[in-house]
Amino acid sequence: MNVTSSKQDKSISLERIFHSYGELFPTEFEFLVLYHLYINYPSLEMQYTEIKQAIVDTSRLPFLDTGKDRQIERTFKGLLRTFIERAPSKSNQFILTPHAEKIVEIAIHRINNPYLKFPLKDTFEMYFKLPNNATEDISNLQSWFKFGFQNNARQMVTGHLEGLKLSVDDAVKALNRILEADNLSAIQILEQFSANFQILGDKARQITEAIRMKVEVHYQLRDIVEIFAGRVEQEPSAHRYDDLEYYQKMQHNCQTAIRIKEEVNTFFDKVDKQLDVINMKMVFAGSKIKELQETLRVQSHFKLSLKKMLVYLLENSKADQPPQWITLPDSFPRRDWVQQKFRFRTLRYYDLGFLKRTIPFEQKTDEEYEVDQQSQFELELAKQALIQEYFEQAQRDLETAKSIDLSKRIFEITQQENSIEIGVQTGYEFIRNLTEENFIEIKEELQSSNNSLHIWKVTVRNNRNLAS
Amino acid sequence: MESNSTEQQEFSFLSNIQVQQHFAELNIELLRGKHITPSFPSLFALLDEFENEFAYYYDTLYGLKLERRTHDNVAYFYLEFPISGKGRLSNPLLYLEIEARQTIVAFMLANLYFSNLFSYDKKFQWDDIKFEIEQGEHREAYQRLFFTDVRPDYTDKEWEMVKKNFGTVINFFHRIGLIEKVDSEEAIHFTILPTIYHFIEIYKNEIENIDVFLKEIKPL
Repeated sequence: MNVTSSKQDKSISLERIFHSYGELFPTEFEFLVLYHLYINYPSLEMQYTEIKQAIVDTSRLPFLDTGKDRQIERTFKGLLRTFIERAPSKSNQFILTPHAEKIVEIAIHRINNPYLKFPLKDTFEMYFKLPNNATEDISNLQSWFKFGFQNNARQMVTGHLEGLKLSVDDAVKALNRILEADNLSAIQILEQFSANFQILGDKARQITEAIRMKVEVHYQLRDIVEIFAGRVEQEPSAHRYDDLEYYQKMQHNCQTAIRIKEEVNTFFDKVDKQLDVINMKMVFAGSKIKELQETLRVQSHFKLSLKKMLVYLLENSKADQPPQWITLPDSFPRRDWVQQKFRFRTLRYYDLGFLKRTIPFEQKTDEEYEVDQQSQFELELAKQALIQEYFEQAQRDLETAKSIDLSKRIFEITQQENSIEIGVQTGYEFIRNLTEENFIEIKEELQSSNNSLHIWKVTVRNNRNLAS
Repeated sequence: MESNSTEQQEFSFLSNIQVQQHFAELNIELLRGKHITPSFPSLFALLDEFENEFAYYYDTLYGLKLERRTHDNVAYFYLEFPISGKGRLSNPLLYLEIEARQTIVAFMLANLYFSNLFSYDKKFQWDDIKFEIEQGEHREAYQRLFFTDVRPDYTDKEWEMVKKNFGTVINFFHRIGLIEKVDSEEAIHFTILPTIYHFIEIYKNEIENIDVFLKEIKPL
């Protein structure tokens, strides 16, 4: 069978496991009944009344004080088929199913690990001893690896370690409960635990001693690998040199020896780590025991006081709305802790894709052009102010003199300002603002005696009637 | 002059290259209320080496005490107020009153710590807390406080609310180093550290004289 098909066989859907789970394992109460039956009727047939009595006896166990009456018939039906079955051809006799026996045995093994009772060191010496003829033929080494190491030595060590770990954990759990006992009995319990830890410590030392054999095994395996490697590399005789099959076989043997050495080393590394964890737990608990033996009274009192404080707070605090959740009793003393808040805030940039990030930059300016434009603008303003001034003067003169020679005035302004534009614009502005009361007279005449150029002389009068 | 020169000498450790490298982080962490344990190797080593200098620094400039404690073979440092007053942090914006929910959860954790005094790892997760509330010795008191009434069952939403509040406090305790979270920010899976003794020390007088304290505080 290849690996893939093996994996497929093991693969069951989680849904199927979920629906079958109730039939796989008994409840706590059912398990206790099964254990009762397993101990009292080992591989024997039993009657319904005996099963009924086992259920009643179990329900009366003092630590199962649930305050509920067990329904015997219901419990029996729950056990039937999966954990209890009718004995073949005897309808009124029952036996535990093999599955139920297996579950009880696993639990016994787990709770009361038999490995802890084995003489570990002797077993180690027996199983870790490498065969004397290991270098003669690789199959001897393979045989030791498969039957000695994989099937026995490895399982023995793993079992011992697991047993030791469980024992330490159980001892620690029990120790944790000590502080709740009254002082006198607690000291007695502590003395027992002290002794118990001594035993566990001895076990751990045994394992460590046994594991020290690994150094020996490691060197032996290294020597074996070197021998096999030497056979691959050794100066071949002329006869052997062409023997490809022999060469390949030697190479294969060497690789097999290397693989075995590596697997054994990997296992030892794992064991080392597990032992470290167990040792740390034991050392810690051991240091606490030593410490407690001196200060048990104080510690026990302190623990009970701490519990009283919690109970007081739980019973006297009040539920509150979020975010407070809870309000302490009014008279409970409030305390503070050093709590300086440090916050370094930065603005987060969100790249939303459609908005392009723009970085502002200083606009370039043509300063020369700007100054030029500015002066032109100011010049224009000055022109407008002058035009307005000349225009208003012309209007005042018209009002006073009742008549004005506009051509002459334009000429004078042009001369004075050296700008025909100001003169002409003043003239336009003047004419644009004339009313119906004004009269414009335009005559063609010579400019001067020595200039024969004809120009149009424009005279404006203030009153139309005067003109006529 | 003499005084100035002494002070210069006391603060001269600040020019040490190691101090300068980690000072900003260490200073911020301590002032944030963090407990510095050996699991912060560089910061712890710095405090270990310059303990007196840092103690002088915080005493002179902040009026705070740099405390060093060792519990269950773990040494740690933290800043504490002097016996009276708040040092130079007397501005209420510069310190925090321990919140009610923090007080309750801290006492829960302290009890859990002592209930597992012999265990090497004091690791807990939400299921352990839920068990205390649902099945524990003081389940009724827990339920009355957390759910306002005692019922056989609570809705998922109600549990979620309790878990959320508990998680907020746990995250805060992780930040100041009373616990160490094992998993992600969301999960409640943590180890209670020996620094929990600092909280116990804050209420030490009340705990040690619990019967007198309860007699005085309980309404007649």
